[in-house]
Amino acid sequence: MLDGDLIDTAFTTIQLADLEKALLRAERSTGTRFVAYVGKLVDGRDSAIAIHRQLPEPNRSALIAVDPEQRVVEVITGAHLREALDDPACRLACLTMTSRFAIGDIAAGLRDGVVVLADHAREIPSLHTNLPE
Amino acid sequence: MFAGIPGLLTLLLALAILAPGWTRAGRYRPGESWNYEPVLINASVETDVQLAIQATATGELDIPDRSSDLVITAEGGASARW
Repeated sequence: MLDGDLIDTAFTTIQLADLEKALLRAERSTGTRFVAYVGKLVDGRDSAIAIHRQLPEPNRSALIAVDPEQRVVEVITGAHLREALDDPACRLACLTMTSRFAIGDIAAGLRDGVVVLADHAREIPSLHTNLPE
Repeated sequence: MFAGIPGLLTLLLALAILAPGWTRAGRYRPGESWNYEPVLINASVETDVQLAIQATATGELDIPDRSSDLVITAEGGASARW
């Protein structure tokens, strides 16, 4: 779902489509929902957590929230996701993103961050669908 | 002709260089204020960003949990500044 195509965003339609594609590809390969948010985070990480809790399945979702004005990026992973996507991997993704953000390329930074997170996320086995070996 | 054609070429070249900068989208520069609408990509349509931001502003972070039978214990992740 692309929510930003009818509003005044800093991104071009192509950038938004690229981002959405990267997020969907990451979702398909890991079984985890990846969501990106770009906008104000009034209370920093608390705001990011509040947005994360609004997602349909927060425990199994990851949110990348960027506030370009405060120059802050927050990666939030759901409680059930922490095993599959640990905090050091999130820190690595943050580093990857900030190197792009520093030159003003928010869209490319987000895309790279999603790729890093997806590379490090392992698929969470669903016991009712995975047969024992 | 000797002035018109080079002039036209110069004009076309100047347009090709300057035109991308005139478009509104994608022209954010580091250090500028962020005057754009918040954007949420790959989220559900029901996700209410404003509600979440208001909840943090009023100190009501524990907004209704949509996962019903699942209890959130603690979020993980990381933060960074640039």
